[in-house]
Amino acid sequence: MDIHDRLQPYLVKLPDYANALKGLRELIITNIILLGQTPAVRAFTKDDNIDSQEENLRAKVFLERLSESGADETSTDSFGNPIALLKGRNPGKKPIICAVHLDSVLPSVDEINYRVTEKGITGRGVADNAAGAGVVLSLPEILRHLGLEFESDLYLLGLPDSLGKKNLKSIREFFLAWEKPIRGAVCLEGMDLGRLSYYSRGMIRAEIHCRTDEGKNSILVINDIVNRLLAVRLPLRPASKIVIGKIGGGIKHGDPALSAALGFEIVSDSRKMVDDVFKKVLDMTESIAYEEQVRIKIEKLSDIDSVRLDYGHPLVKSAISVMESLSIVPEVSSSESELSIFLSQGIPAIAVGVTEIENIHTENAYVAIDPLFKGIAQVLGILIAIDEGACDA
Amino acid sequence: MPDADWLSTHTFHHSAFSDLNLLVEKKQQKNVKISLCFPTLNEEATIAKEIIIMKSELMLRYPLLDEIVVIDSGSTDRTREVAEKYGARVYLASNILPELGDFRGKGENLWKALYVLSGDIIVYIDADIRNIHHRFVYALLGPLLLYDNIRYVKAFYDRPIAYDSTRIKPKGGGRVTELVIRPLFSLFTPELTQIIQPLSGEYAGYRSVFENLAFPLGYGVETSMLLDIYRKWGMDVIAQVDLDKRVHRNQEVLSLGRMAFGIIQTFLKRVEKDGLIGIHTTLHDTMIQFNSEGANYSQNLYEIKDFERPPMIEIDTYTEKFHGRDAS
Repeated sequence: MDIHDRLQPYLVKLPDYANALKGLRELIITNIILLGQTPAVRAFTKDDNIDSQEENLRAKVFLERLSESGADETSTDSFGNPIALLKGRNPGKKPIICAVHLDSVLPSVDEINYRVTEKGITGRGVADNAAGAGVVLSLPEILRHLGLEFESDLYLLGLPDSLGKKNLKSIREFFLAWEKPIRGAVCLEGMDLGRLSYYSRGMIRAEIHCRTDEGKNSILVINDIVNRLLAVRLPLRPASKIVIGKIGGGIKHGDPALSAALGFEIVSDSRKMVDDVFKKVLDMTESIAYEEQVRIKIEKLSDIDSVRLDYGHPLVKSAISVMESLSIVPEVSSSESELSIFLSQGIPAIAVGVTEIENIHTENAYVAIDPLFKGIAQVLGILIAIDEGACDA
Repeated sequence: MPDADWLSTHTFHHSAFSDLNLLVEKKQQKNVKISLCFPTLNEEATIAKEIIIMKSELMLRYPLLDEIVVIDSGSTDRTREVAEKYGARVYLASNILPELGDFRGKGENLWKALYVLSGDIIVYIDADIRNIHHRFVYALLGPLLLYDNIRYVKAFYDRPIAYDSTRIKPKGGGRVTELVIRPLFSLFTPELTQIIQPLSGEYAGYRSVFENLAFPLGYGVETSMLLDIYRKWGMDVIAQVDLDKRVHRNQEVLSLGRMAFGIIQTFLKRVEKDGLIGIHTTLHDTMIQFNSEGANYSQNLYEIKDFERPPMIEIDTYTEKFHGRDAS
């Protein structure tokens, strides 16, 4: 029997799983709230009167919740990544990993309070990525509730430092410490139910910092750089683009800005194209620095290879079957997240979203509660597919 | 002067009660039922989260609570619908013991709750806490379950600031506590000054305590509860627990003024009844505040009645239901 046949008996059960998960509604919402309301920062914490240690507060909550929920083992790796193990029936099988980033693109604040209504949860960071993390935290109880057990060990991995300048630090460090072969991986994101990522485009994320002396204006220099970036000729194939995402500079409305910065990404299906365009940007900024007599520095924040699973890979096909069995319409997109690191390690992996969201990176980010149950059933279906051999070919 | 030992022997930090398996075990040993009650009025923004977290952690994960009940004063928003959706039992206060009339106020809700709650231990939690966590409930239950002498537990928030190992600066309570309650306690009942936040809306106790207390309808309910428990049973039955931080709605100073009026009203009535002072006039029951608009000033009159419900144990229908006999 191929994976498609082995998966069939489970596919018909997934809608029932989604329905049964409503019995764990309060638990799942509580996990989302307690994780998401914890500031995503490192702080000194104290468990006794003798010793204190600096740790990521969300990583601490992640481990505490999983430990309480009956995970077989909980620990942190040597870099502080929290990991919980749910033992499988067959110790000879390679383990499966379910990974979730715990940080947020918004700056951390001391006080985060979510609001819950009949339909959804609202608050800073709930869509990216408290909802995804809350689902991972609920998995031990979900599996017990549904009577599901895997052949493989299942590792639940929290990644405290992932986004922006952190440049996927946690997952990169995880692989420095991890020694076992991995069967397959699923990365969970709050957003958006139906999202299916099985490839990462090549990407360089960088910031251009400009400083000028009195009499010059850094914002005008950055403006010149923006214009030149927009003029860079990019091919339609391989699909490539420059995304200008952040800008800032100056101090007072009435004073010429002595410093300014621009954040951008170069993204392409071809890694070579990313490197070529980045070289053009380096040359361009260097020439402006000489021509305008200003100081320009480029800081590379993130550098990701172009990696992918084929559409025909059994994991991708299985994920699509799982989604269709739950009436979820797959929306394929790339993901330059943890997924890229799993794929670049040669580990079959996909990223999916767990519910419908709105206002993603705002104070009023919103996740819907009802679609969450389908989203979780989808995750279970994908884990079952991996356990049934979707990544073993 | 206050007994210096009380503060150290009856004050706890919530972390002392974080072993929930132990609390469940003690509950089973004592063979008691525990009820959680939220008095509400237009709390749709926060009530769902409070119910969800308590149900998840203290009913589904650890069987500490036997019921979660909302007693609503007639909310005009969706408080009751939202609470029902997440599994709380919801009552309109006016529908409980309707033959005894219907009044507005938190005290009325707490008092009527006694008739519909089934627990031997009752936890009252305000429904406007934005940073709700299940410690708000289990830490109040801890002293009741682990110490046989404790019958009533009061919450306080924000830990005292420690400068060094010998000097500690207590943070104390809010504006009404520090400007009204603590001076009054210091004058008449110094032992009660040790209650760090006497106005906190979170407390738990045995039914046998609550059913013997009169409940003022409005702002004075927390003050009267402390005074009456202290007078009937002494300080040894009271404990207080530090719940760390509580985030809730900020109150305008004018609204705090009305609160202070209600508290002073209740306090004076109690200390006069106890023979501590004599009041030789009729106290007015209207709080007068002022508004200014440009050069014009206007009065706002707020009638604040000091009506209170008698101890529930004196209500026949209650004693028939809970004690199987007629109070008379």
